[in-house]
Amino acid sequence: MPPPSGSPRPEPQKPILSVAGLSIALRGRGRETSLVQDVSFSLSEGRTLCLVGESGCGKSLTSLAIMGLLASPPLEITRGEILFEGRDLRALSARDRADLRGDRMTMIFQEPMTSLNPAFTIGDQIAEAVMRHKGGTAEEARAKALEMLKRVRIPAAEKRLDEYPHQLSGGMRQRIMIAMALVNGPRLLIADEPTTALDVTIQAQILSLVRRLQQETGSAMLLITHDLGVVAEVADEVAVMYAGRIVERASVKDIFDDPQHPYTIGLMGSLPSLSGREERLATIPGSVPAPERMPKGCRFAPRCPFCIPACTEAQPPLLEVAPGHEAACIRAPLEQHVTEAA
Amino acid sequence: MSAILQAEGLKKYFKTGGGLFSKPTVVRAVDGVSFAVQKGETLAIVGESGCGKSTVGRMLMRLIEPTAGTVTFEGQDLGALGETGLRKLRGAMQMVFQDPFSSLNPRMTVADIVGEPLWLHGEGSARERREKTLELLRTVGLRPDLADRYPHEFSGGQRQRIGIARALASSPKLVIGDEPVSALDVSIQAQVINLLEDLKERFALTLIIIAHDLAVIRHMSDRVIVMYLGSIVEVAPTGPLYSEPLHPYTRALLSAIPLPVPGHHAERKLLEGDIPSPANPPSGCRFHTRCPYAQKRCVDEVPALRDAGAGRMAACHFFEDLPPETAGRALGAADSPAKARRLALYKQFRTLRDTQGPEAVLRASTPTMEAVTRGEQSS
Repeated sequence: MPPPSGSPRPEPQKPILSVAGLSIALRGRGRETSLVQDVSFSLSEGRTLCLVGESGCGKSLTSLAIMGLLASPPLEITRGEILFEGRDLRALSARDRADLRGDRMTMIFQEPMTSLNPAFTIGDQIAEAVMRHKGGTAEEARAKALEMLKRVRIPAAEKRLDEYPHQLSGGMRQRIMIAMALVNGPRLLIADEPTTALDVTIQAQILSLVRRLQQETGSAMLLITHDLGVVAEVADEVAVMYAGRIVERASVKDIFDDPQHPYTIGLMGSLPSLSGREERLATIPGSVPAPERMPKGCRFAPRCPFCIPACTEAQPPLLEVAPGHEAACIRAPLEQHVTEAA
Repeated sequence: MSAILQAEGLKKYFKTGGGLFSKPTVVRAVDGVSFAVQKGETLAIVGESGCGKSTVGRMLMRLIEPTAGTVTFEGQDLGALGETGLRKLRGAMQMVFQDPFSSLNPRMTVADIVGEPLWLHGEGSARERREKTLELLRTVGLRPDLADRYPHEFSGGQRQRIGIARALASSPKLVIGDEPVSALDVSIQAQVINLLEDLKERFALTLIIIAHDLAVIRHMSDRVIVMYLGSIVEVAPTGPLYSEPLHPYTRALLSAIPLPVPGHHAERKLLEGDIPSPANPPSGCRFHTRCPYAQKRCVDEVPALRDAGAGRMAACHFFEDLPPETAGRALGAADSPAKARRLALYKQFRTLRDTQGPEAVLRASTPTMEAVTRGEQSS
C-alpha cells in the first residue's frame, strides 16, 4: 500500500536493483550506433517499476542488458553500472551470471510459445529450473513444480505436468512461464510485455495473478510494456522512455495525474478513451528517428509542439520538477513556459 | 438510412485433421451470423481470438466462401455473381488488413501498389492513373515524391497509409478494416484513426471495423456487434453498449480492460477460465462455461438473439433479469486538472505549430533561463 499523501514517505529500502548511466550501442562495420543512452533507475523489494515506451525506445534492450542476455557482439554495454543486491553484474563471470539467472533474477517474455521447449513436458521444464539451481532429487523438483502450477491456478495441475506446451492455450502457457520464473523465489522478476499476446479477459487474469504472487513473495518487478492501461494497473513507479532515453520518471499517480514531458502528454492524448467519443485524438506527428540519425538536442524535439531553438541545441538532462518526479524537458512545467492565450 | 450490406445466416465450418480411420474435426468458426450495415455508419465487430470476427469480414468480401448464408451488397447477392461480376463489385468494397508488413507486395513500388486497382479496373491512360496515384498518396498523408520507393523503406504507420491508399483507389463505398490499427504504436495508431475518420467523411464511406480493442471501437464506431465463439451475443449503438452492457460477456469484456487510471483495478470482476475451442464449443449458450449468471437452461438451450429495444439485441435468456451493471468502471475517472490543462495546451500548440510554424511557438513562449543567459552573453 502506498502511504497516504501528506505523510512522509517511509525510508526507502536498499534497492534490489540499481542501474546507473546505462548505455548500449550497436557496433559493426566500424560504426557505433547508440541505442540506449544514460538510463538510470533503482528498484526496491516488493515494488514494481514499469518501463513504458513505443517500439524501438530501448525498453527491451535495457531489460536484456540487466539479465545479461544482450546478443554481444554486435550489441554492447558501452557505459554504466548494474548493481543487483549490491553486486556489480558487469564484473561477474559468465558462469556466475548464469547461476543468478533463473534463480535470483528471472524473466518472462511476451511469447510463451517460443520460450518453452516444445520437446519437453511442462513438469520436466519447471523441474529442470529447480534442479539446476537448488539441486535435490527429481521427485522433489517435480513436487515443487506441481506446487507452483497450483499457485498459478492451473486447473488439473497434476495432469498438466505431463503435457507438452502445444497442448495448452496461450493464457495457460503464460501461467507456466510465470510458474517457471517464480519457482526458485527470485528477488527480481523482469516481465517483457507479458500480456501483449493475450486476449483481454485472459490478460486481466494474468495481471491479477502476477500482482498477487508478487505480494506473496515480495520480489521486485521490472515490467516492460507499451500499454498505459497495464501500467496504471500494476506499476508503483514509471519510467517513460523515448528513443533510447528516459524522458520522465515518477510515481504511477504522478505520471497519470501530472504528466510533464510533452511526449508523455502526447502519448496520453493519443489514447482513445473508453469514457466517450472525443472529437479527435491528439496525435504525435511523424515517427521515432532512426538510431543512426538521432537529433543532436532533445530527441523528441522534431515531433514536439513546444519545441523552441534551445531544445535542438543540447540534450536536456533529467531534472526534478517536483519531489520524486523527474522530466527531461527544458520546458517543464509547461504552463510556466508558454502563454496559454497563444 | 438504408442498408448497404446485408449478411444473412452466415456460417463457415472448417474441417481439420481426419485421415483414413479418424473422422475430421469440424470447427464452427462462424455459426449463423446475420446483420445489416447501414449506409454511412461505422459498424464495429468486436471479440477475442477465435470468435470468428475476421472470418466474417472475409466472407463479406467473399475472400472465403461461406458454408451457408448470403451476403447482399446494394441489393446484389454476392453468391450469385460470377468471377467478373465479383471483381467489379470488389471495387466498391475494399479491405484494409492488420499487418502492413505482409499485405504489401515487397517487389512492387508504392505507386504500383496503389495504382494497381486503377489499372485493374481499367481507368484512364497511364498518365492519368499516375496523377490519380500521386493524389491518393497526398490524401493519406504520404509525400508523392516517395511514390517510387518499395514498402520496406517505410515505417509501419506509413505502410498502413499505403494500404489505405490502395483501398481508396477504386473509389469504394464500403471499406472493411480488419484490425487496421492494432499492429501500430499508440502514437501512430492515433494518426491512422484520425486519417480513417477524415477519409470516411470526405468520401462518404461506410466503414466496418473488425477489432479487439474496445477503446478504439468506442472512439470510432456508431454501432457495435459483439461476438463470442462464432455467434453474435450483443448488438447495440456504441454509447449504450458501453454505459449499460446487457450480455454478461460484454460486461466481462468491458470490465477486463485495464484503464489508464491508477488505482482502478480493485473493483473489477474477472472472468474465470479460458475461451473454449470452437472445435468443441459448449452446449446451449456458448458462454455458459464462464458466465457468472449461468443456469440450467443456459446449458440446454441456445439463446436466440432477441430484440432489447432502442436498436439493441442480446443473445441471453436472462438479460432482462440480470442485476444492473455498475457503469462507473467502464467510464473511468475524469482527468486531473493538471493533466487536462496540459492535454489542452498540447492540442493547442500542436495546431499552432502546424498552422503557423515553429516561430509562432517561440512567440507564445516565455523565455527559458538558458535563453535569458545566452541573450545576456551575446549582448
